[in-house]
Amino acid sequence: MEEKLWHLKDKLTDLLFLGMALVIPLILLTFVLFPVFKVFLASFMEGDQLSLVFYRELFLTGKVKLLGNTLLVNGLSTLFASALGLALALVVARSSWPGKNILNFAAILHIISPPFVSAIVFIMLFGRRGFITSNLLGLDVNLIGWGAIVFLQTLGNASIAYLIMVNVLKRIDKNLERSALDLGASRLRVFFTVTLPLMLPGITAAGLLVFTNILADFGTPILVGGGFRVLASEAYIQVIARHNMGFAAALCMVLLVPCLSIVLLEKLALGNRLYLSSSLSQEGRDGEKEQILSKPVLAALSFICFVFAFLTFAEVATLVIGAFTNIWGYDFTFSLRHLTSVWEQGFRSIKNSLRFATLVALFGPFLGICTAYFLQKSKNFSRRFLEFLAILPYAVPGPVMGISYILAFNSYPLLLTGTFFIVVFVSIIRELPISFNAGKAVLHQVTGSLEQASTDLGSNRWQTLTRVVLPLMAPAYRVGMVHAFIHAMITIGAIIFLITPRNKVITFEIFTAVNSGRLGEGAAFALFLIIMTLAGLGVFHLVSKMPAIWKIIKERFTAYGIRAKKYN
Amino acid sequence: MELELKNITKTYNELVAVDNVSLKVPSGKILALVGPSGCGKTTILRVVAGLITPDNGQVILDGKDITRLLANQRPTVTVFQDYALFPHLNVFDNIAYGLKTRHIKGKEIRRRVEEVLSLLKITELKKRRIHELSGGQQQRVAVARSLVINPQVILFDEPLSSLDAKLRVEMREEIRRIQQQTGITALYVTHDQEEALAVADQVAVMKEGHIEQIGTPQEVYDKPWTTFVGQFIGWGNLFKGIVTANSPEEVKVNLWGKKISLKPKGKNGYAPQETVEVFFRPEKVIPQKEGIWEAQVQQRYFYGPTTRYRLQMEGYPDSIVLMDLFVGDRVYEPGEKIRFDIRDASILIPEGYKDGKD
Repeated sequence: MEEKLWHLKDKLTDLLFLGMALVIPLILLTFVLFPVFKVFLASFMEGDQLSLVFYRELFLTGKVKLLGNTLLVNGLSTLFASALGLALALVVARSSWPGKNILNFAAILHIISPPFVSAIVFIMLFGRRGFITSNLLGLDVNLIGWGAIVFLQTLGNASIAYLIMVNVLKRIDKNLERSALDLGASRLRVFFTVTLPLMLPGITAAGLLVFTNILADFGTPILVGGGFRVLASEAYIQVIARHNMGFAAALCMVLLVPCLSIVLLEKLALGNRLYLSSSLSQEGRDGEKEQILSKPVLAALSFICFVFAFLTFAEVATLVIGAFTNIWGYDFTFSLRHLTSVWEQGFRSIKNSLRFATLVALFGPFLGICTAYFLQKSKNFSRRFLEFLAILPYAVPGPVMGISYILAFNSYPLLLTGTFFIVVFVSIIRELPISFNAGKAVLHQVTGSLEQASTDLGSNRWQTLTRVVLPLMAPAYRVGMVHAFIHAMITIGAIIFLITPRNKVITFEIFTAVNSGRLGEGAAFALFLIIMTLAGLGVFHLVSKMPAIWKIIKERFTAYGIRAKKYN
Repeated sequence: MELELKNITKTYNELVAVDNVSLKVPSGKILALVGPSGCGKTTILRVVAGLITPDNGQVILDGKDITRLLANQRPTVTVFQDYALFPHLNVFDNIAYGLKTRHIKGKEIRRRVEEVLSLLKITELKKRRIHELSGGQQQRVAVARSLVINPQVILFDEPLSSLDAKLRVEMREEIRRIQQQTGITALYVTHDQEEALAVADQVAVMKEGHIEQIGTPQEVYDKPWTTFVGQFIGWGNLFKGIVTANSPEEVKVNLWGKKISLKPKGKNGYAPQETVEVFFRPEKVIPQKEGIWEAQVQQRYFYGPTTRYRLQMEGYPDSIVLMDLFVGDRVYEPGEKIRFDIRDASILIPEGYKDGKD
């Protein structure tokens, strides 16, 4: 009987592997390659005719200004955000500044906030009826415009740049800096000849990520750009207001090309250039790290960090106050009406958001890790191509992804637009590169030797899979889940094009509320969202600790002799 | 350049890393700081380098107090553990780094780099990238980079710990050769006592932030003061004996039921019946027909030039004596009975005993 089961499970595993070998390439082809191809096609088609009309409109009419605008805003924002991120990283990794935890907390707040929360706050404070500009200073100005976009993109993206750079900086061997100092170089010289060159790959990676991030963001330009349009916001308007899919597709192509080349460039150019020591350099004990930053430099950087932290917390504070204020700009009395209206009318969206984020968090990493595992197993020529498809979604800006899904899945047999499924699925696909890479990193470390050992010790494939491979993949799954959950909670870029009134989520509600001037309601929704994201992460943290807790409980009972009977 | 440390103390979050340490490195000599990890030797080195500011005490170089100078203002240079070579520069640029910060002209830089390259015998590596070098080559580049700026003091921070055993011996001879040739004063930190004895003119044995003993390698090896030094440097036999008689010239001690006469040390007298630590080296165990002690050979290990025996003392089941015999000596078989005497045994100051030193 047991032997039968053993064989059955072995057969089952074979079947599972065969299934994966069929399903995974199918998914990658259908949901990654096909939509991108559709965008490409749509941008060259007018009706049934091959045509360059959309590109002609983009490059040869007044619309060409979009390119300049995008370049201006993107260039400046990327520059400022990277510089700010570098300043934050330097202070945290190379000084004994006491406010490090606050900075980390501020950075995380930015990461878990939807991209346009800062836009809401900006309008509340500096808009035409802004609290500071109008109520406090009595000015009749409007600070909205491209400067506002740059300011908000800088503030929002500095956190991402910071998190990447601080990791790189922490892993640069401090003895290299000490050695340079010891050889007689001044601190400034050490920074420019040792620290900066060693950080360069990290800075480039951060800069590129920030650049693509800003390129994809249409919310901020629409909300605080006034009439100032960039490629992403124009694509959004073309789809939502004009239903001009062809022109939108051309815009998408223009967005896609730089993003794709950046990702490829990064892979090719930076692959081997990171000089990181294998371990994190020791912290705390030495008490000598302030050496690399001289006092005036540290003071200046600390001031910048302080301003960053202050702005972040002021932003959240304003949001909270805004959610409890009767009519922002006119009547600053306390009121619960936004919260109650959001709770009553937006309950469905809140529920949708949670359901949506949970589904993405569960299945996103699953797909990514299965893909990593399957691609590691397969040895044929198509592997590199499939691998490229697995990381491709990383290079596709959110709105491009959303628009491509409208184009790809609006007709039989793949008539999926309008369903909740497609909203979930586009987000799962967007998570694919993250969990794929996490899974690949883990698999890279074991490279089959553990599986061989397991087989060698007499396990069948089922046992090897469940007892060796799955436990090893657990950390990658956890990383993928956290990322997927946060991202699904705050995402809008891709899903805004696929959402129908029945399956609205909170981010969508915020965007429409603010876009139509209902600031209080937007603030209330945003507040709900941030709280729910934090709560979700808390629950996740507890759940991921459950096995450990369960083990402790079990050990306690064992210690009391409750399980003793079984062994006698 | 004479280097002197006066009463250096450094505390990390209430943990005393270096406790009131004073020492002198005479001009042109190597002093090795040796001790187990965490004994404070690296902290001392970094205090001299200027990478750590001491809580207390002074660093004096050639009569000048340099305690408050920053690392980049001091005429000292460190050869780091793991070398700390700049991975983004090639060998030449690594070595030239210190010269460039001194705004020396290109021609002069090239001349001086070539000079140290040939001193270290690595001229052919000039254009290599760091990750293309072996451990030993990296070590040579690190030494070259430090030497090229003509430092007054060179500081070695466990420079050989990442090399394999044979290369380690080769490199420590090389370091000794170069130091002798250039006449630079050097402070050499290591946890390897053999390396310390081989490379240095003076050895300071450290433990828990203070110096236990300082002296020439011979002194430290032949005449350890404390049980810690005796056991840390080389191999040793340490057994408890009981004082039976005591005078300023000699102390009679009962060891395994036999009386031997030893020199008193660091202490005015011993009380009768006091337990003392008796120490002797394995090579000072001499097998003799009329030897006063008897033991049984338990194990034999062949080391090449020497052979080590573990001897089980007759009637003392807890006492295992190590004995080293040399090539040409008689070979004993396990199980064989053996009689032996001990030469140059001494009484050591036990751990935790503070006032015994002179």
